[in-house]
Formats: sequence, structure tokens, C-alpha cells
Amino acid sequence: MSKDFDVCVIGSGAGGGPIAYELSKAGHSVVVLEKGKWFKEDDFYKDEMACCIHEVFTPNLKEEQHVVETERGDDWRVQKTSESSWNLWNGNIVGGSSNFMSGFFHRLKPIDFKLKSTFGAIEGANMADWPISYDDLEPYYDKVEKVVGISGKVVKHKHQEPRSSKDFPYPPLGSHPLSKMIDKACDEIGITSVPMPRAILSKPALGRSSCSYNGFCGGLGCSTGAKGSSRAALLDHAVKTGKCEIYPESHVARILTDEKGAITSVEYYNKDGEKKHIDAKIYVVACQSIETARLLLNSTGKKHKNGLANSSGLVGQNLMFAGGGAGSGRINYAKFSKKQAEALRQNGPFINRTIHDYYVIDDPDFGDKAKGGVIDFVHLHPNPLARASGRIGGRDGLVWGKPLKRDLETYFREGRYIKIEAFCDWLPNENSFVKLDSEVKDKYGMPVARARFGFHGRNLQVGWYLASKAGEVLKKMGASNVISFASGSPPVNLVAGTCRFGDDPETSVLNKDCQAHDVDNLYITDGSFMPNAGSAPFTWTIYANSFRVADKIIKRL
Amino acid sequence: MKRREFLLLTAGFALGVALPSQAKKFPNVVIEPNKQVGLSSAQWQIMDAVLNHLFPSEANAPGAKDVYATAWLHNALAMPDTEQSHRDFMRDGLIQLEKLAYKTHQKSFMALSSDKRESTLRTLEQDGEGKAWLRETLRYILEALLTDPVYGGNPESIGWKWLKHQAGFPLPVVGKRYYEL
Repeated sequence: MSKDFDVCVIGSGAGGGPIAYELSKAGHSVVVLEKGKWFKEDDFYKDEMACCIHEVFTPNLKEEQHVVETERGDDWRVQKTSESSWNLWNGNIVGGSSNFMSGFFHRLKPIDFKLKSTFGAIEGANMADWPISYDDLEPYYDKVEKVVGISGKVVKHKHQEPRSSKDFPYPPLGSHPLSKMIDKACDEIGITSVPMPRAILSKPALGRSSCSYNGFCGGLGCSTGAKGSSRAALLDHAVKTGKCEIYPESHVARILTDEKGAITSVEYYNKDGEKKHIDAKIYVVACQSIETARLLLNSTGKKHKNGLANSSGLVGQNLMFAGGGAGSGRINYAKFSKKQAEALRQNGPFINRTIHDYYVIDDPDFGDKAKGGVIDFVHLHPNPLARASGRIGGRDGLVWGKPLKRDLETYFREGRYIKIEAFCDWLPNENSFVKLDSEVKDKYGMPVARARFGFHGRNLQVGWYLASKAGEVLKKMGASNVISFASGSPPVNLVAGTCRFGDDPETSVLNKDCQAHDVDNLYITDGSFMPNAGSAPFTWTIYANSFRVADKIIKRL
Repeated sequence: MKRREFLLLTAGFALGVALPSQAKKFPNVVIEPNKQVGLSSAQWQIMDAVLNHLFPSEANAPGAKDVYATAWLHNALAMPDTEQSHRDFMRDGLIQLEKLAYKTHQKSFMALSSDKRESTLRTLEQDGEGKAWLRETLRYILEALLTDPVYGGNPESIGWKWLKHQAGFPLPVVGKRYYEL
């Protein structure tokens, strides 16, 4: 029977991009369905109104929202995102949220693939070893460096993961004077400060321009194409093959199946709100963990009564984020010469420093040897309204008038903040999951996802440990106002799990090729497959795994 | 009407009656404030006084009037996608403030000395709703101060220059403002 396309990819972010890129380059016809618009480089401006105050790149929450459950004592507080400050959308445009990432790129390490067998079970955590090893994924990490474009420099440290290439294909981005200060402080403490790899081109390559060092990166679209978004790095090239079509503003509501359980087509709504269908030999879902789970759960059929690919009942379970801690410290310019202060004041160059020393915590003060994580040092986001808004609420009430103005002058003009981001495993647990809400529907009439954000106590323990170690570095370099803390609140821009992969169909949704155990021609290639998400931002892993799965699909077509 | 069309029609308009000095700096002035927003010209004058009190103008530091905060607030509330409940919230807060001024001092907020304006606002802050209204009002002032000049506040980057804020690039241009994307 003739099909519209060889491959239908649902979602165009870091999980969908590599499939479209590889399959179209191999000569197969590909369609990518993306619910958002197709913005190009010349639509991206350094505009706080567009990126952060108004919903330009995410759906209107009145029309499409989520329901969240957060811990409140022994109970769960339920809120609609349209009526709270939560927003679980991360960038719904062609290229997905990779358009808005900071591009802090870290590989997972070999132990992340076998956490359970390395450290043993943790009570209350649903751990499982991966069905593949680091060695299986390494060639694809390498491929991402070259194809998506990662800049960095390999510096030897005790948790350096094995690499097949000697160094990164692109040199590190220009660094801020603060980077050297961090290096020196780490040296004095006896730990290793490593340049952080970034999915940002430090020189023109791959048909894209270099970074322009304008200082506004994370949370904003890149106007030079230097940032390795799925759109700039992969989809633009895929379209040029003539084999890949992108359908923007096409929201997939359901995947339809026949009486035998086989997929017949996907049902989507185009920008005029018309219901359409498309069919293909292979279907790839990559809508980010929460929406991927929702799509499968909404796609019931005669053979899939609990949702597509859900015979295990595990679709939506084991939702994860990046766990961890955070903090900051302030560098006051008054301590420096006028020339040094001017150098410190500049926006543009990156701090880009990471500490891997605590990836495994072997410290009697902490307890038994345990999995830790990485610490990243970065600039506080320079968006001025966000920074100023934080100054309104004082300890003794609101601040306004001349006191507010003097505070803004000091805050903006006399120093700058370094931010700590510490990452640990968000341990999968029975209170972190996605299901369908029984009442709230989206504008297409489909039930929305309801996510519970239960965290394991270990997240806080490790998060505190890492954040306080990072705080020591900031104190050593002479920062003031140093704070560090951990939180059980999820960073909703780094989401994984809900369709775990594994060898046993009873304890996993996908097999080791990220193919659904229940449905032969269905693959899932966003972060949903991960049994644990590592102790670092995991976008590089999503990209790498998607390239790996692309090879599997090419082989069978 | 879609907000894009609305903004194109009313781009940069100000409140002729309440704010003659600001109105001169905006093209396409309309004299009557937008009726949907729900504040009368007299109420806009009180709002103008509140904004100038919360963020006063100084010789070397711009205040609410220097960044067109009143017109900014008006335009923000007049946006077609601003919810009516939010407009009502901003109006009701102002009415509360005026009631409080009469109750405490038997005068309009407009007629109060700076000290009495301060104490009246601090009293309003003790109330939960009042505090939320003040926080929102302050946030609008900071928007007018620190967002891109293409949106009508922060004229000639006066807010950025004052705080030595280094803006990114490229900056948004007419035709690529958030509601035009």
C-alpha cells in the first residue's frame, strides 16, 4: 500500500531533528509535523518582551495548558497552568525548545548507563540499568559534536568520559575575565575547572555563522545560527535535500490504529483548524516527555485500550527533570582597578566553567559513596526587566521611590552576579508521572496532560552538597552575597522519562532501539526513553540517541 | 480585532487630556483614553500621580514621567489580548487608593503632600490586594523603563543608559515587535 511518506516525525526539536536529517540525507521521504510556527533567524531579536513576557513562542495557556500537582504536606496541590505561574511549554516552534536552550552540552558518563548495578538500589527510587552502554552511544556523541557543532576544549579530569575524537571540532568560545578567576579559585581548592562545551559555533561553519557575543543567549532565539538548534543545525539541511517537508502549525492530536493494533495514520489539525491525516511507513514521536506521553495516552484503539504502546502501563511513569541545586555570588567592581572593572562589566564573552570532581561523591561527610553531579558557573541572565523586577520585593515590604532607584543603581552598575547551576539525578519515583486530566481539555477537545512533580529526598541531599561546593569556589574568588541551595521544584525546561527503554516489555515501553515493544513501526526519540537522565543537562544525549535510532531506522527501510 | 491590527492603528498613542506633556512626544494622539480600559481621564491623572510618586524623576535618574510610564500602562491595558479582569484589577486598586485617601485625609490622592501620599500608599500595602496592585504598578513602571524603545517606553534608551545596561543585538524593529511575529 502506498504511503504518504517513508517517515513521519511528530515534533521538530532535538529528538526529531536528527531523524529528519539522517533519513532525508539517506534518500527517504520525511514529513515533520510541528505544532508551532516556523520562525527563521531574522525573526529572532534580543527582545525581552517577545522571549519572556509574552507568549510568542509557546501556546496560549487558555487554549492549551497542563495541570500540575505539587507536594503540599501529605497531599498534592492541583493547579491549572492557566491559573498559576507554571508553564510547561518550552518553545513550540520549528526546532522546538532547542531554539531557546543555552546549549550547556555535557555527555552522560559510563556509570550513568548502569547506575543501579554500580551504586545499588535506592529506596523509593525506581532505578534500572540502561539496555545499552556508553560505548554504544559514544560514536553518536561524537557525531553531534561535528554535525550539530559543539565548541569546547578537552581538559583532563578524574571523571573524563572516554572519547573517540581527541578534542572538540570547534575551539572554545571567548571567555569572560571571570572564567580565569574561577580557574584560580578551583586551583587553590584543589579541584579542576573545565571549559564547558557549548552547542554554539565559535567560528563560521556548517553553513552557519559564528556566535556574535551579544550576551543574550539562553531563553532567546539565535539570530546568527551559531546555536545548534535542531532547526539551524539539522532541519534547514534536511529541507535542502528535497526529501524532507516540514508542516508547521500542525498539531497532532492522536495516532490512529486499526483493529490489529497497527498504526493507520496520524490525525492532526492544520493552521486553519482543519482535521487532516497523514500516513507513513515509520512513525517517530518526539514531543518532549510530557506531551509525548499525553499523545500516546490519548491515542487509544481497539488493541491499545490504555493508550498506544502502553501494555506495560508505564507510559507517563518515571517522569524526570534535571535535579539539583543553585546559587549565586556577586563580584563588586570596586575591588578592581578601573580597567579591570571595565573588562568585568562587559556582556558577551561566556563564563563557561564546569566542575566534574563531584560526579561521584566519595566523602565521609556526605555518607556512603554516591552518585553526584556537575556544577556549572554561568552569567546571571542579563534580561534587564527580569533583574530589576527582583528588586521590588524587600524584606520589610515593597521597595519604591528613591530607595528603589538607588538600589537599582547599585545592583546594575556596581557589580555582577555569577550563577551556580548544580545538576544531579532526578531520581525516578512513583510520585513523578504524567497522566491525562479527567476534566481539562485543550482547544482541540483532547484531555491535557496532568503532571505530578514528586521528588526524592536524595535530590535535595546531593543538590545541597554540590551547590555548597560551588559556593566555596565563589567565596574563594572573593564574591560577596554568596548563597547556595537545593530545591525539589522541577526545572521544566529539562524534562525526560515517561517512556523508559529496556529489554523487558513488562518493565519498559521501548526496546533498546527506542522502538515501542507493542508497535513495530513506532519509535520515540526525545528524552522520554531515559531510565535516568544523568547529572548534567541532557540535550546532547537526546541528540546523540536520536542519531543512533536514525541508523536503526535506515537499516530497516 | 487582532492585536496586531489594533497596535498598528493606535501605535504610540497617548492620553491627551491627562498627559499633555507626554502626548506631544507620541504620534497619532487620541484625546480620550480607551474606553475598554475603564479609567476616566480624572482617574488617569491620579494614576499618573501614583506612578510619579513610586518612581520620581530626578536630575540624573529618570522617573516614571521620563519613560512615559502612564502612557505605557494605558497601552498595555488597552491591548486587545489583555484580560478584562486585569483591567478591572488595575482600576479597582486605584479606586481603593482614592477611597483610602478620602477616609484618612478627606482629600483626593491628587491633593495630598508627598509625605501623605507615601503614608497612604504604605497603608494600602498592608492590604493583600493593595500590595498586589502596587507590585503590578511597579512592574509596569519597570517595563516602561527597561524594555526596548521600539515599544514606546525607555525613550532613547534612557533607562538602559542610566543603569549602564548593555543591550543585546539585533534589537527588535517595527514590523518585528512581539505582536507582529
